Amino acid sequence: MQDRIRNFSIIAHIDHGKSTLADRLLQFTGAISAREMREQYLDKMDLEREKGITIKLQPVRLKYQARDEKEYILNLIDTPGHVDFSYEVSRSLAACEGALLIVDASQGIEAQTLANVYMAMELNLEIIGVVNKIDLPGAEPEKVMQEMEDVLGIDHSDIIPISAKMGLGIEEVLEAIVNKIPAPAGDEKGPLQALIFDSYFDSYKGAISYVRVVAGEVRKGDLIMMMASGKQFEVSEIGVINPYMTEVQSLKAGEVGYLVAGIKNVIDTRVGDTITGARMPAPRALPGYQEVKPMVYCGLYPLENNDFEKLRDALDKLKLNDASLFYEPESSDALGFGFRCGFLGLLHLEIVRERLEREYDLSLMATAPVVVYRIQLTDGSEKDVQNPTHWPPAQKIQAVMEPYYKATIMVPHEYVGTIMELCQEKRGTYINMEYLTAQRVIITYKLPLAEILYDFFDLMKSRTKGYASLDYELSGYEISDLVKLDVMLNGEVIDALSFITHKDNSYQRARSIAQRLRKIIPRQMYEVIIQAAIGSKVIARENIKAMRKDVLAKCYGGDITRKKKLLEKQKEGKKRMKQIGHIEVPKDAFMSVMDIEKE
Amino acid sequence: MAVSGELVNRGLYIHIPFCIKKCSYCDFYSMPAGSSGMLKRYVKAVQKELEIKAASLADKRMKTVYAGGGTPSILAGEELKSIIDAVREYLDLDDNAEISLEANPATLDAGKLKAIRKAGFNRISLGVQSFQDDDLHILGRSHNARDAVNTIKVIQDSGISNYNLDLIYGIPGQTISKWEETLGIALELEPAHLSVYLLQLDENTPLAVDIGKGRFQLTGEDSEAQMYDMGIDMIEQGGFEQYEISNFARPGYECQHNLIYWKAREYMGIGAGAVSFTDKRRYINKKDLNHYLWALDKGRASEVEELENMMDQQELVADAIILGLRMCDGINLEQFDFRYGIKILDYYKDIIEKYIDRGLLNISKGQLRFTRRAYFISNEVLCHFTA
Repeated sequence: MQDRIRNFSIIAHIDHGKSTLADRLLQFTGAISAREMREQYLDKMDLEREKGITIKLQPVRLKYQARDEKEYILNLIDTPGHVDFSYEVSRSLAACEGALLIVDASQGIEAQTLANVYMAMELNLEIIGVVNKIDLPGAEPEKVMQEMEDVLGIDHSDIIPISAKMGLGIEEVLEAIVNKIPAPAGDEKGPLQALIFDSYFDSYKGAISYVRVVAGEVRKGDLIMMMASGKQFEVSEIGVINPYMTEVQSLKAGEVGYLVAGIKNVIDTRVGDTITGARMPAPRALPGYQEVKPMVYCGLYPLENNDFEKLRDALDKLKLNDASLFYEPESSDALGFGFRCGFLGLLHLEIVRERLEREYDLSLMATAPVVVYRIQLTDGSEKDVQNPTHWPPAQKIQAVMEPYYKATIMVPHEYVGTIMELCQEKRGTYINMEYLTAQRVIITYKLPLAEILYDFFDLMKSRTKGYASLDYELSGYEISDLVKLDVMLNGEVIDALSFITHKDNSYQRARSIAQRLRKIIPRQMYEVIIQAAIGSKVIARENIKAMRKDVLAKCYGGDITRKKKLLEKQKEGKKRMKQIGHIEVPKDAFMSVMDIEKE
Repeated sequence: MAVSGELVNRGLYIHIPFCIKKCSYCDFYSMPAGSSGMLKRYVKAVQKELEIKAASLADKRMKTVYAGGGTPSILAGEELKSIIDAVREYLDLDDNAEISLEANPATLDAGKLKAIRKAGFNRISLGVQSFQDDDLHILGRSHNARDAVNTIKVIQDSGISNYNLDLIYGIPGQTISKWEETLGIALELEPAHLSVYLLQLDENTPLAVDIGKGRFQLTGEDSEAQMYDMGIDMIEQGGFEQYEISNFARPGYECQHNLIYWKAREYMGIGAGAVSFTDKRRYINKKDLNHYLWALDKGRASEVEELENMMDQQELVADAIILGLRMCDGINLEQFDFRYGIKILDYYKDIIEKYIDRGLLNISKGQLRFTRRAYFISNEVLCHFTA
């Protein structure tokens, strides 16, 4: 049985054609008819389809009649294409025996793809090289294949040139999956070990786990146990996705499918955990489980104070589907009641925020994202701070540590100088530089996460005309000379605008935030003075002159309706403002600490 | 409470959509006058519409008549007279009714004024705009400053003492001192009434387009506010009282017709593009001269476009506040509560308290009104009252 199964992942950079290739595989194997076809079929969220990016495809089981006239079951398990989700990538890869590495024929390998390929190699996956978009005018498949050989050691002649868009080379890809990727070889008779590689919440069935059975067998009615939490559940349904949810009697070693077991929350079916039989548990869990920790925090506040409970409900619901989302209530003098939320990274933050606004009809204010600082206090204790408001007074601080990341940047060689300069500006420490090919260089620096989040990525892209790509992973906490900057409006500290910055950058950051606020806060009934200060020392100041004119000079019988519409529009505009004291602050202002003037 | 008397506070507006030439800042429905035959047809159509609309009124009393445009003074004296005659024939016009005519300096002479008086007009509103030729040029006016002064003298000689001058400030290139000069000249001429408007451009007007292209520049918020404040001071010192955001009058010469709008009373609009407000409904005659002429020629009413229909209590209240607060006397709380059946101070408690606290509203002698410093930023407050 297992010799007819192939489990594979797709590794690709955003935009290199993952979703399109998946569409073609579905069509070629007849999993869906032409009538059912829609673009990016396996993209789950509207948000993904809308943005044309794929964070992660839904897993799918394909039946393929190969050239050897045998029928194979191919399980596609996708890897999320963003650095925020690298832990999930590792678990998806761990569920497979092989991976398709898709590289755009005109772009070449990108840093993040490389990181994921290395991860796949470490897990001993068979890598099948695929060069996509060979139909495009700028395509240089030969060059890209050579690069893949030089950089990754994938034999040039084994790489398959395709055009997923035109449907070229699809069969070759399927044949390579069958012929090159090893069949799973788990112990079918042993105790159950199933790796959870994804889960989601269904309002009818509860949490649904996507699993790869590594050993043993799971059947409907079995009592199972989550090995990390020890929690037990009874399996009420198991099935495969082809691409519709289709119930089956059992899933055996080597197979991939879904499992429903009356689990009320995805927290109880965590990605990376091992499912085993409660009556005859496996002696140990599958390796590699980690509890993911949020790396970035921000405050989310409803613009309307009465929406607090609605926001809580929405977060509760999202959390059912997102075990890595963290939140706890907090309050701000300026913004009222809200939540401090933790995320895996900025994309994760952006997705959650957008879903809250869109799917739960909330209007939210977000404070600037911050990393988790570790502060050693003079009394010898240590404290983690992920909200600048909780920053201790200077005299109580012994030392401050911030998270540093090892950043891997891939760049054409003419930009080496540019990148090194940028890394220096951003407080980076040089680690290494390596020529992958004569043209492509991989540069490694240690950088504070705060700088990566702030504007590093945008600057890197703009200074290299988009050619540089970036991957990063935590390297550890290090001592830094950091200070808290407070922003005051008419002398009052607005807690939600406080942020942490390196002392050397503090003057420049203070000036740029003050200037930015002057631009985005409209003129008010009174003059508004903006100040940025470290402690009691003001280091930047701007003022917004009082509004002098806001009037309908004429209003007579003929145009009352039109004039009223202008006033209604103005009232609507005020709804996007937060009233702080006497000042109306646009809701986006609180994020603006992050946006400095782009070069 | 003399509330019953309030019910006859109804005004009649007659729109004459013809001009000598269209001004660069104008967004009213108007067009250059065609042949005299066209004007005659239009006058007949107006008479017909008056007949039709009056027939549907149970109470035919009208307190004011206002002929606006366009430039109504473009019509010949007999034509104007035939319109007012029709008004008197079909409607019940008060003996002391204010009957206003909008006029352009280039369209009046002694003979015309005599005819205008004879027709029954007792108030003239003259579109002077500025006493600086540079300003008039930018505004695209068909007259110069001297024409305006001469025309005013002719009006004075004709025995019409109730006349208004329209002035505009905030014109590109206009300085504070030039504006001061214009105001000084206006005050020396001793009109009964002054309307002083900030130049506010609809984006489709030629002047707005020119400004968009960078050919001219507006004077800017700070200098506009300065001109407004200076205007109020000078005009008040000249013996006028401000009674609305942009309007000033010698005691007893407030424009009764415009007060009807600001008191949210009913009005009947006659003519192509004229707006009517009656029975909780606001609508506009189609802005289509040919249609208007054609329909009334056939003895039918013009097609209309509904602006607001079946307005509910909240919308009526919003209208009454937004318009009422434009007047310096503001809103009489007792009358307001009686008329709309709501306690305004309870209903809008938060907003009113907030802006009293900030010094933009006040209540005294039973009137809710803006403070003087609120006038030029009044939208800040008014927008909160929209339904």
